[in-house]
Amino acid sequence: MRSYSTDYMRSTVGGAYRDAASYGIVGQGFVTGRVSAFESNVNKVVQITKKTFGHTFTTHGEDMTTFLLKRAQGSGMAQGQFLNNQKAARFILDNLSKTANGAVDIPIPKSVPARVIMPNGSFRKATHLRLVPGGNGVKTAYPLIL
Amino acid sequence: MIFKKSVIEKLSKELLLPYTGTEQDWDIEMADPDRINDFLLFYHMNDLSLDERVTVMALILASYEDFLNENNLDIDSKWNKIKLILKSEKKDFVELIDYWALDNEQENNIFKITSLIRII
Repeated sequence: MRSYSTDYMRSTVGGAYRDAASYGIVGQGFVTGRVSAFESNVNKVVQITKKTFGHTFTTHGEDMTTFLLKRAQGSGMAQGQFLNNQKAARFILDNLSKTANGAVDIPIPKSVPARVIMPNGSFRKATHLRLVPGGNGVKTAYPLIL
Repeated sequence: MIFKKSVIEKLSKELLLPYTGTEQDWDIEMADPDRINDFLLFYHMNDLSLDERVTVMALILASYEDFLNENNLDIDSKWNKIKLILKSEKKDFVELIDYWALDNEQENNIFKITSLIRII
């Protein structure tokens, strides 16, 4: 059965199969055809560039806790922080099409860890992600509470 | 950059910006490449506090970054006006200049205005 499935998948999806195999996710789901070519990229590292992500991770990235604590306190405004840049970057790319008419707020799934730092220094769970489009990606993106 | 909420609210009203109160990156989100000359005029024509001057300049720089990107330019004549302010009042804009200069970033991963800012 496995041999048949492998040959079948090679003949029908070609490159996608090779990608999936190289990232170690060829398994039952793939054999049954439930894993798409897109999902085969799930473990690939997203290149985090200014051109695609703008100020997103320079300001709201996983390493920006100290700055965001100061910013929240100094500005008097809550500040969102992504707690896993790669997961956030992938989610942003997946939702770029939603910004065709301008900035959008999208509910954050549990798979994208994010928080909001309040002006008093406390942390709260983010509910949404704001995407502000620009160029070929976003000018900025950040977690917030709506 | 850290901008005070009270300053942002005041400037948003005076500049008629579409501020809703939920923006965390005010300068980036309110940037308007079509209003750079308007923002420069506002900067020169009003008696602004230090916080207000820095906040307006942040808006001008973010707008100029958008302008260069949207028009696929590296520089235009408006930069001379911006540069003049940045140079003459450099000590007030150190944080802003440092932010856009991206000193630790590689050349292939910088903003459009980074190379202009680095030689201020």
